[in-house]
Amino acid sequence: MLRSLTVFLVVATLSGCLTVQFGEPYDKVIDDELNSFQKSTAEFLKSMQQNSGNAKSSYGSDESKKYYASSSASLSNMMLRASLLSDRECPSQRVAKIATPALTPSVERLDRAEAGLGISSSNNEGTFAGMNCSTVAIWSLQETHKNLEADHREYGRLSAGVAQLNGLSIDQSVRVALTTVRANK
Amino acid sequence: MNPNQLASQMISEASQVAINSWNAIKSTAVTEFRGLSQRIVMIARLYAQGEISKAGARRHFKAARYHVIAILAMLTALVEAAAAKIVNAALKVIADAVNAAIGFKLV
Repeated sequence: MLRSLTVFLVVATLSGCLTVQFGEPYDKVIDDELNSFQKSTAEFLKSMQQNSGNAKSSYGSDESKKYYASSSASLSNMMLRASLLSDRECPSQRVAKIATPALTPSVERLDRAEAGLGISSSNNEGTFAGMNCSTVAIWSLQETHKNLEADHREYGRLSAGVAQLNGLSIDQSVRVALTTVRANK
Repeated sequence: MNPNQLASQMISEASQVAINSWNAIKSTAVTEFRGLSQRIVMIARLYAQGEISKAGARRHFKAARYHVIAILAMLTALVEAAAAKIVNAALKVIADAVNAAIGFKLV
């Protein structure tokens, strides 16, 4: 077995297969765009807190309109770029099986928290079918960003707690997206 | 070239890469799952305090579930990158052995 593997690798090397790569290639534009998105979101949230109590922090303010328009466009662009990196669906189901012991406590905690509050978030896990791994990570960030706008629209302003929750969620999603995009750097 | 010696060298190089990569992946997974727990606690607290509505809490829980999927995608990308590094480390051992045996850089 070992001998066959060695022979195979020798043949592969001599045939010119000097390096292999699985998954999507690294895209510096997406990397830069993610950093820029995170920075502008942090600045926006800080500005909303500094202006809390006046019209500048409202959902309808010019600053809010400008931020949501530009950040949504940036996320759409990243989704498009990421989708063009590879048309191979992210094989995360296989990793899910291996990661189940690590994953279960988090999912159970989510279930318990929802049950405790009498809430059930619907399951739309099929919506990421066909996406490569980078696109899945950016899509999750896009969903998190939609929550920020939905909160702002619903409450009119972002309270300190709501801003903190959205800031934390977006930071986590950006970190996961960056790590995914940089896997093959 | 001795195939057995070559195989041992390949295993040694690949094992080192595998250990380093696995430790990095494990540490990343732990950080992300801890962060997720913090987020779940915060959603529940803000809802209990009346700072977010039921619809708002539902939206955030949904996003937290999407985040679990994103973490899985990230881990998949990291595992694949680690697998490629392991194969490439073994291929480099072969390339070095071939080049050393013939006395010039062929591969």
